[in-house]
Amino acid sequence: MEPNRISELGGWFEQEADALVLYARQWLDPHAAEDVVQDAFIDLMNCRRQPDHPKPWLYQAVRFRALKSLRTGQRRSRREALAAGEAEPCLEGTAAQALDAREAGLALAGLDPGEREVITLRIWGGLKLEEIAAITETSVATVFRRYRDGLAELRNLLEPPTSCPTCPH
Amino acid sequence: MPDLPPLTALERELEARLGGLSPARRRINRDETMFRAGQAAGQRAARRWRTATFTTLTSMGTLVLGLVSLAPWAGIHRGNPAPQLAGDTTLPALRRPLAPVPTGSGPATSRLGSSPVATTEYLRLREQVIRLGVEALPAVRWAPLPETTGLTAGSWRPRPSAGEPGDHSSWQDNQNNKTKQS
Repeated sequence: MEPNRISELGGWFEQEADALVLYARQWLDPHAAEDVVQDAFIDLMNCRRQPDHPKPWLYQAVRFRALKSLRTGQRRSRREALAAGEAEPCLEGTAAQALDAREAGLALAGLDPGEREVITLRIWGGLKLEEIAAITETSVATVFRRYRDGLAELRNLLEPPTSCPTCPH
Repeated sequence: MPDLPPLTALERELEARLGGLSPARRRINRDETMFRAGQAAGQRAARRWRTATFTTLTSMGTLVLGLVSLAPWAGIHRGNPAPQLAGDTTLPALRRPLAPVPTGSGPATSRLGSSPVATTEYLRLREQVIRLGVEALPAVRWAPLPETTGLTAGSWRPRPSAGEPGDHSSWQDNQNNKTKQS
């Protein structure tokens, strides 16, 4: 492998590995998610023809591998993965931030799988709606609808509406 | 891209707040991943070489087998009986018990010739030499030359003089004269 190619891939790793692990943790426990991400990078490095857009390619590879691993039953079940995720928070933040990272992670885990996937890809993956549609094999409109629904659900989970003292109910 | 309605201010604010959080730090590191990638590439290259070697050897083996099976003498290797010559080709000398070669009065080479009898004789002698060694060769007896054909001191006669019987000098002179005249 050429040195500049190695440095380029190293840059991709430093930039995207954390978000990819977060993406894979929707289906897998943290250790399995890291294995899947590592395998995706190995696949990218050993590709005969490098993809034109490595970033969406990596997310697609992680999704494919994670779903395959889930289907073959080699990994722990989804419920166990969620339990492991609760033990290990998937998001980090500073104390000064408005949102609590642990609460945000739990709220994210409680979303509908389609909404959670789109929000993860959009917010932490930084992908365009078209790229998300290609990865999830849905239309852009569906992606947008899931994104809005997911944000609304997160707002409800993170900021429950305060009861109005003047309201009768 | 279809015309999508823009996000509301509340949605944008939540989007920004969520984006402020970062994914948990992974435990895999770049160097380990690079090492594993190199390992995988090496294994793939080795597998490719193994496949290429196996394919080449298999093709060569198939080619050799094909050539062997197509060769005209392959029937011998396949266990088929070798083609037989028509008629009895066994030499008579090989079927008969070996008998001593009669020694003639002249040298052994004088008995060999181009006739079939001489050839058979030679083959019998050859077979005996192969089996028994050079001792099987017949003893050569050198017979004395007959006196009538030999050149002895008593058989010398002087040249006949001119005019005597046996003198050819006049004929030779006539030939010389004819040559000069012509």
